[in-house]
Amino acid sequence: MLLSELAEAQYLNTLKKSELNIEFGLISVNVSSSFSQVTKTISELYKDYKVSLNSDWFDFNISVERPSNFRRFFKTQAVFKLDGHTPFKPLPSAHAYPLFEWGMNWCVANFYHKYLIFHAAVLEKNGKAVIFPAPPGSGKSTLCASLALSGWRLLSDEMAVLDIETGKVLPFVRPICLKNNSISLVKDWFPEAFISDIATDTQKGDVAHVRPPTDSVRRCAESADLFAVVFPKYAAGSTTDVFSMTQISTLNMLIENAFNFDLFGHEGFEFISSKLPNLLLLEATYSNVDELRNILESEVNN
Amino acid sequence: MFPLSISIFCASDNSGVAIQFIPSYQVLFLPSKYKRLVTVWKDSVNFPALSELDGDEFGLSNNDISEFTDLLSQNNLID
Repeated sequence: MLLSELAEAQYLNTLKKSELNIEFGLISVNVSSSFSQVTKTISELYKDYKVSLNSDWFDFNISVERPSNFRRFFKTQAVFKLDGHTPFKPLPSAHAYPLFEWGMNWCVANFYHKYLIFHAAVLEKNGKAVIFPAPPGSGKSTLCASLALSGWRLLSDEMAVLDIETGKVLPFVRPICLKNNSISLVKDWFPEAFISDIATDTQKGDVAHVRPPTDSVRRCAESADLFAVVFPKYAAGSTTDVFSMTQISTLNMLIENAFNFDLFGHEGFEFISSKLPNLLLLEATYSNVDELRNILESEVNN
Repeated sequence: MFPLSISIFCASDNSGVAIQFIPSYQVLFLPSKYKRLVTVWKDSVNFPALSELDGDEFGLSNNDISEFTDLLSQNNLID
């Protein structure tokens, strides 16, 4: 069953009672919230996702709730809970939805160690997956949205999940988190894309989420072969320049961007090392997303 | 005393050598000139101790050998 197939009353009721699991393929998450902002945005962004009701099989039980103290009423706040525990300080209630998404990222990055996970976007075209590891401010999510809304399959905006047994990249399809100027840019480029309401003045500035393409969500259990690692670097006004990266520099930067590299010991190290000689390794400086997208498309079309 | 083990990656594009050592899980990056030396060291019967090395044998200068042993020592790979 898809989330969009639930009647509104049933949807709200199951969400209120913690009886709704969203199925991501990689994981299943039991969600609940008392915030209308959160319930509304989940229904908009996750409408194409499979859901299960009243099932005890889930990986994380998460909720965004009102605090139990007076901050329910005065300068209202939102609290993220994992299995009933509160790992973070509350945020203003206007940031309840970003808190839901960031909290879910935190759960997976900290507790889901079956696979090697990097902080990176992953997109695929022609069966070739490209990993984009990058620090904040590199334009990773803007590039990710541009590719995902131009026919590339979105595997993740935030986490590259690698199965070291099969060597494949696994999808963890989620809404794409846009910040500040990139929100209006993506709205201008792709007026047909659905973008959530903007949460203003969060820790990361203004934030909004793009609904992932339906095809990417439907293929959330379909792994892909790793083809390239590209380190994007947005520089306002720059020309588009693409350079080859050395294997050692790439290894170094991948390790820096890994969430759980140490937990895999030699297996993780040898897995990445063995992949590097067969991958296209690039660094791309850009200000024009279309130009970079054209260059990447020529690489995956070869 | 934790068991010490290392994995080595010698980049095929000659950009360098990476050594991951456990128990610290640290990854040490070295210039590719140490490629053969690292491999010999790992395969030696007295790993992790480093016996007397002759630079000529590896095409390295005494300064290179000294730099190599210093790097390993600084990263707690040898005494």
